[in-house]
Amino acid sequence: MNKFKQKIKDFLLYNPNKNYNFILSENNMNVKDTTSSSFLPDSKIFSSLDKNIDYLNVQYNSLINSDIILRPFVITIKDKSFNALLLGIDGMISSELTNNFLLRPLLSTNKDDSRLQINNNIQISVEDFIFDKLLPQNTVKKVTKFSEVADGVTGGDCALFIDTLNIAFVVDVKGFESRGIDNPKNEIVVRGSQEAFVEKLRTNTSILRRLINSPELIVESTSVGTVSKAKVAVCYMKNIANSSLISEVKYRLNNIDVDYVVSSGNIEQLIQDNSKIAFPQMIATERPDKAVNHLLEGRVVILVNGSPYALIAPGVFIDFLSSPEDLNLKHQYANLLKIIRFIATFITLLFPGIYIAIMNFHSELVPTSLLFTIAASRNSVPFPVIFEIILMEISFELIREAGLRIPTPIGPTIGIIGALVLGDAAVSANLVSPVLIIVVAITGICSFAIPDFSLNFTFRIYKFFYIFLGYIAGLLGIAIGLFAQIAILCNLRSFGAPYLAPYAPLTNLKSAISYFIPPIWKRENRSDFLNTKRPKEQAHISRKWNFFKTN
Amino acid sequence: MDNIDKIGKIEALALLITVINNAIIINLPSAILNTSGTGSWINIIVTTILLLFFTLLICKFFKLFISCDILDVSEFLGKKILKIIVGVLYIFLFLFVSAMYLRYFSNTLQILYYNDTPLVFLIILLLIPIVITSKYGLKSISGTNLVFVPIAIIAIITLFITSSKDFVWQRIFPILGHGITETFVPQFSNLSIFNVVAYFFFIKPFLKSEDNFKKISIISVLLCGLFLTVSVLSLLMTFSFIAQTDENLSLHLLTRLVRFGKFLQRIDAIFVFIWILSSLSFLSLNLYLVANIFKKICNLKSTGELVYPFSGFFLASCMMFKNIASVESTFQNFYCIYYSVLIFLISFLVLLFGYIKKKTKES
Repeated sequence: MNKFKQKIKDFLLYNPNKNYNFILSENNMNVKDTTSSSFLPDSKIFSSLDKNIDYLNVQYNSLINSDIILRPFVITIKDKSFNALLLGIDGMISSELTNNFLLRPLLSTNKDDSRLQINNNIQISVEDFIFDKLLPQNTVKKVTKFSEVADGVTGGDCALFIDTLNIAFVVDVKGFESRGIDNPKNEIVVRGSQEAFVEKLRTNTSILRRLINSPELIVESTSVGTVSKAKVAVCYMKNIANSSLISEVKYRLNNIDVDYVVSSGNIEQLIQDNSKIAFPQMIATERPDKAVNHLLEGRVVILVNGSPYALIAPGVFIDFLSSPEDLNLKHQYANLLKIIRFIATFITLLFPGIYIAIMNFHSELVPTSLLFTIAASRNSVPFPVIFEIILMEISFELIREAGLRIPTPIGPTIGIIGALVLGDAAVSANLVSPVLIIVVAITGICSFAIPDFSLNFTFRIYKFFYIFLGYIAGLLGIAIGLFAQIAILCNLRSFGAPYLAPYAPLTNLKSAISYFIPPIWKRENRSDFLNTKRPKEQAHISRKWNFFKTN
Repeated sequence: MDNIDKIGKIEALALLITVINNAIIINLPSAILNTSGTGSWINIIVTTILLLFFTLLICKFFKLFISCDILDVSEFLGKKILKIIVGVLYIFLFLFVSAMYLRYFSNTLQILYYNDTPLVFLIILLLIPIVITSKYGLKSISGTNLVFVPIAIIAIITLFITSSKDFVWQRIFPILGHGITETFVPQFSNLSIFNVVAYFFFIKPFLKSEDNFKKISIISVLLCGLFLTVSVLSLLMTFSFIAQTDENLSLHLLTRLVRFGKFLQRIDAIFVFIWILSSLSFLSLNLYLVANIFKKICNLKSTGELVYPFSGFFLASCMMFKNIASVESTFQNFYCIYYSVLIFLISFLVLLFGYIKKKTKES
């Protein structure tokens, strides 16, 4: 009966839906943002301060933005008062600098009016007077557009507006917190510099300046992004780098039409030559010494504000197999490491594929005694080799990925679980053979020997292709994959430089061994493919002391 | 995508070495062994000397034609019609040699390792990288080739060195083989083994510096002679029966003998792996040349898209042969004569008359 009553009540009375369902409107394209439309980024600064305040209120949404500082005050020049406004962002500007070196000089009465008497044009005189006498900062810019004001203010500067002046002063009073220079985290070396780039652009450019003691180092600034303008610095050696290369880098950076970029990784993807190919086409480094080496070789370095990685263009294949350590060591040591790295690269890319090819098609390659051992170990495994290998490779990739994401205190756990999954348990459960564990483990270890993070990723992806090719056609499959891949790489260019340079195209026979580094006194020439303005980087006889002594 | 970049001296030489290398891999030495027997190595030396003179003549005739290949010379001599005739003859030559090679090689691979795999599958697998490389142009072909040529050369040298322990010097006797005539007079089949000569007629416009043309050509002929002599001698001194049998990939027989201690006893698959890479280079070059010749005779802009239909022709042509035996008989009965007539008669005459015409015009 009660149920019946309730049903009648439900039917007749208003019963609001108790579930909260928020659905994002799909047709918000038609809803116009009136506040945004009233804001014209290229508008010129008005001579009326009230108008400027109205404009800034809309532009910075100061009624809802809690960190926007709009500080109105009055300045007095020759007994004449002018309304003024200081605009800044709390947290970005330094309170100490703003109070002591900006507001204090402006708010104190100014009787020094000699210049005002000379010049009849009161507007210009006030402007010059403020610029010359009242702003004791080293970096003050006069700007005429609101967009220029926005560039400065969002970067941590203050903007000063004065009534009757149709300009604003952008004053450098940056004071935001940033990470200090630290050790490199991902490119560790034994001998060599122990400092890394940080997120602050100016700190990074100052590191480069400090390491390259030459006025020929050019640091050009530009910005990328339409909604959020990321500051980008293009650095190069004016007397070394190829002019076309510099122009090309600037051309690409200036022709990116995106709302925002947040890191150098974004920029890299937006300006690289071929985005369909997984191979990295620009060098990314957190090491200033590596960046400096490349700058002095004639390449262009791109620094992005907010990113502790510098991009270096062009990047060719052998660059990604080189470690920053190489140049710090004697050539014998460095070359040994290079050989090991080359073998590691080969193993990472091809070893699982070759294993499956040999097991399926070319078992005669394996010595008989070893073949018996492998056959015996696989005897109890019910799966085909392809299944085994894909299972183990995916497990390994999962453990690697999980290892990166896992919080530090429980990090060792992943190692224990990984060892159990990849090791004894999988073999005991007859899921995989012990030989395959060795193959996967060696491949995994070798992948860590590849110095470049992006190349490591690339090889991990292509490894699966070779596994498939080895499965369908044995060594023939591996050969066709390798051939096609090298043909594609031969066609690839990075900022005009052939990707397989200096081997393909081979300009001279010496280039054929340029993967290995000669003794430092023999490194006379810069890389051929860079076509630098100074092809020679040292004299034919660099160790002159030795020459003089022997003669 | 047409890559008109020119190639350097080393790249050009590497391409020609690949052509020579493939001639050796594909069992062409056995054609000489069949005709000249144990006197084959003397026959190769004689042929090399004769071809050196021929090459010097070609270089002299080509000297007057800057950035020209045989098609340009044909056009100069006999207008468009001669260019088309010569072009079609060369398209047929490269198409034919590639089809024979592809069929022979894939069939041998099937016999050696892929008994259960359909032949057409193997051929298509081989064609995929060839198409990719040819589509990107000569720069890509030469670059790829440059990566693998050193490996191929090392493999061949290793093969000869390691097989030397099985050499029996007495096996080269009788030194004059099947007789004085067979030993000292080059046959059609022996001339066709030096297939590298055909490429001389097309390589000049692709060179960065045409002054290197003569050097490249002469080095190629000498290398071809050296490689063939060494391979024939190795085969002769290792196998007593080699002059009497028709072995597929006779060099593969040598690879079966390569041993490094007790651990590595059967590494022939590694040699075959390297030969596959080398053969892909060779076939890519041929496909590109076919497309390039067609482009030239039809006045087209690019070779990029032509690669697809011609790869279809490659596939269709190599499926025309019934088996390896039919490939071999076609080689002996048709190809050798066709090649010799086209290279040593038609092309030579075109070049000679073109040279005379040019000289007359200039004077």
